[in-house]
Amino acid sequence: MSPSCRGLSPRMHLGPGGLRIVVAENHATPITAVAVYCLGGVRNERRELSGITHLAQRMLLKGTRRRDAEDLAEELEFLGARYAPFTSKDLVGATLSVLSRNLPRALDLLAECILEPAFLPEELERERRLVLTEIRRRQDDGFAYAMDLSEAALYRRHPYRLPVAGTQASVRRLERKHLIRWHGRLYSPDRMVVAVVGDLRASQMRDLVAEAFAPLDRPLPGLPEPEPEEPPETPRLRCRRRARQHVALALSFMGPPFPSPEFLALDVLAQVLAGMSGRLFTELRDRRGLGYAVGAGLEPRRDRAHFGFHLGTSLEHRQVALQGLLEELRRVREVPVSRQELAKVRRHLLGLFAIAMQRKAVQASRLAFFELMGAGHGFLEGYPEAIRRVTPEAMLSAAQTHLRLEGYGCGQVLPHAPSRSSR
Amino acid sequence: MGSDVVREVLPSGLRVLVQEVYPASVVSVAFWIGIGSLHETDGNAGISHFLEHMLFKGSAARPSGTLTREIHALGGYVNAFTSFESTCLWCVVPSRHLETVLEALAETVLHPLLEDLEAEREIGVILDEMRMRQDRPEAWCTQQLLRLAYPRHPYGRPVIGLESVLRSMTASQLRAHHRAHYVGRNMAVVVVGDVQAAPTLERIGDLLATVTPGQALPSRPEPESPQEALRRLDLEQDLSSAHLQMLFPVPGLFSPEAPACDLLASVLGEGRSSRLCRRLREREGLVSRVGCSAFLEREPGFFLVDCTLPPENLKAVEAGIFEELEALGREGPTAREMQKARNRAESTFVFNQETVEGIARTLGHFEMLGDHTLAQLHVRRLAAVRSEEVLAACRDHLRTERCSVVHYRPPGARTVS
Repeated sequence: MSPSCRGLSPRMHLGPGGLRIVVAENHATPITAVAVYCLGGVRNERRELSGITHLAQRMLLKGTRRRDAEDLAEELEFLGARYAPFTSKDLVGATLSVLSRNLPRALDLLAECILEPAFLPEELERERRLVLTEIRRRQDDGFAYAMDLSEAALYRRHPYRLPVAGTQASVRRLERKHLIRWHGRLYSPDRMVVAVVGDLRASQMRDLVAEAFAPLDRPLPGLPEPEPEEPPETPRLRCRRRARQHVALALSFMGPPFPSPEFLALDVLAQVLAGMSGRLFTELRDRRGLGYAVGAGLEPRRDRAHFGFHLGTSLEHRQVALQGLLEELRRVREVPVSRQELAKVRRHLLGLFAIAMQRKAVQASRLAFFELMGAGHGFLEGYPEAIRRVTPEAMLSAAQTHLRLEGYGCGQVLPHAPSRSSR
Repeated sequence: MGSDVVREVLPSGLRVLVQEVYPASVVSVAFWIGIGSLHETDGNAGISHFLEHMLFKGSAARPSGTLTREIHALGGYVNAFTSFESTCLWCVVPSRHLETVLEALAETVLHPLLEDLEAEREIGVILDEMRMRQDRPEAWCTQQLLRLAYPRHPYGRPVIGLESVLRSMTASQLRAHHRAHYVGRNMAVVVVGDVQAAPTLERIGDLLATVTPGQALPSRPEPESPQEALRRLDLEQDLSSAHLQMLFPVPGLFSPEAPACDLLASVLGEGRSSRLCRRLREREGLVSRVGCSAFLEREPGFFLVDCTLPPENLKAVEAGIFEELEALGREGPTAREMQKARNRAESTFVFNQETVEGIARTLGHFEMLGDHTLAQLHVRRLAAVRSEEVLAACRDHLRTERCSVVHYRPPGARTVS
């Protein structure tokens, strides 16, 4: 057992309707963390109604059949709870962390938000306006905007091309009846996992969850499934110009599905490239001084993982920095990583894993995520061993298949004119 | 959660804090140096942050860039930051590597090379960092706000420094800065994790035996002259959303009013049910985000209000904030609001205790302010605050004439005359 999971022995229980409840005792702190995860998100959206999942999720905190938005927020915050519904490309859900003595009340409130949102018309209009503001705001953040552009360039049809919050046009189009219908189809117990990690008795935590989510007693019909899409044959570029000091650039590649052995190989490869001791930082920033920020990230997804890269540089260095980045990607496609470098990267990856796993919120979220995505909650404990088994050959082969330099997405947010000096 | 904190002072005055915490096999080690932008002048602005960068650019036993790679290869990470008050180099690693990282961090902090060529190159990196900050609207807005509120006091200068000053800064200045301030009476080492206190203390004592006590601590800046009228700055930029930020001077952490100021931030602007968020976001839908925070260290402290909003709402939101401040200064918080703020503070404290790096950060931060027990003490002080004190803090400090306000917005959206 890895040190990070010391004493964490998750057990799974099947609730009515097929709801999976994963429970683990952890007595390190008087905190309990809950993760409610459900398959269904941007991946299942239609383009015209892009952002419907996100807006429906946002409405979870805007009032239930029993209490209004203010009462909900007031009660949860009075308990000192940290709580947040979320939406991703594949999933929706909510997380909760709270002092364990307040768990029963906080969990009831969270379940009420998820199961009984009221979608009050007045609240909906207010939340819609806020979401529209946030969509505009995201375009002020160079890297976030460049990544959105990059992924929109990578995919032509698959919903992964759509931003989580939708577009100005699609969010304006969403009607209350759409949201109610969509929410009614989303939370199906057979597509859901609730994971709890806390310092209470396992049976007590299990019973609290089963009771709170008891109304979910039967599975719902499936959600619309997207058509698969193959990687592009040529690089696809999207640029926007803003009055800025530096260039924000992002690249997107289609990876393998999660879970898969190839995904793990790319997970290790991402670590070879990313971070302050990774090749990109060492080569592009440290050795050649081509930019302040550079990084890589692999996001697990059901259909195809997203392998993304970002680079912040000056307008004058843009082309040479991009060429330098592509050169590093070419290198991992052509030359296997040495055993020595792999050993270092592996230790770093596993160390970061152990450090992140100090938090119960991370433990609960990962248990729920792995279980829901089909890897099984046991994958959490097996993760270090699976990483240790990744070979240089597997990484090379995964890079050749998935880091396709002949076709990728590229997004750039550029300054209007050559960078002027700051004050 | 673990043992008590063991604190020892070495003959040089260097303070060592160790806490045994067991849930995970990891340890956090942090070196704190009591030097930051507060101790700088217009002539050397940014030198502390520059020196922090240069710690990664080679030391007697480690060529440039090696420290990061070494710590990563142990399965951990290392980072550093500079604030108004201090510089901190910290890492988290699997606890079996404690000995290695103690040696590596001590060597890095005590014997940096500070070579001319590396320093010249690093200036370029810092200028890039500066430009990137300019492209982050919230951070840039806060920097302009601090400049407006503190025309004389160093809070008004960015920690990263001034471009003109940095361009001509030399490695020999860095070496002198290092000699003067990286000294025993100005430093603390904090170790938290799955370790044993006694041998750790002994090892640190050996590693740092050659540290000299140094001269007197850096002097503190003169206070800013009191403000008598509202200050306003209106900035245009190619943005999609607008930002509104306000600053009010408040007393520092050691003032009897500090806990009341903390609760004031909580009641006004922490969470959806706080007064400003409830009104401006939840009820009126005028802002996409609003929050308050009280910056409480040594004197002086300040209170911030920070909003993101559509530019057409700037005027209404500013008016709404002043109305809410006025109402709270008149009626005070309810008993329920007080209890909610205390519950929130208690939860935050416990959440921060979940990781070794969180515990180490809290310990080091308060030790540099004078006493590591201040964190827990502050939670106890919060429990004792009465609602009249919060009312009084609001009435006395969050006054229109003491306020500095910045609107950072897209062009064309004229707001307040």
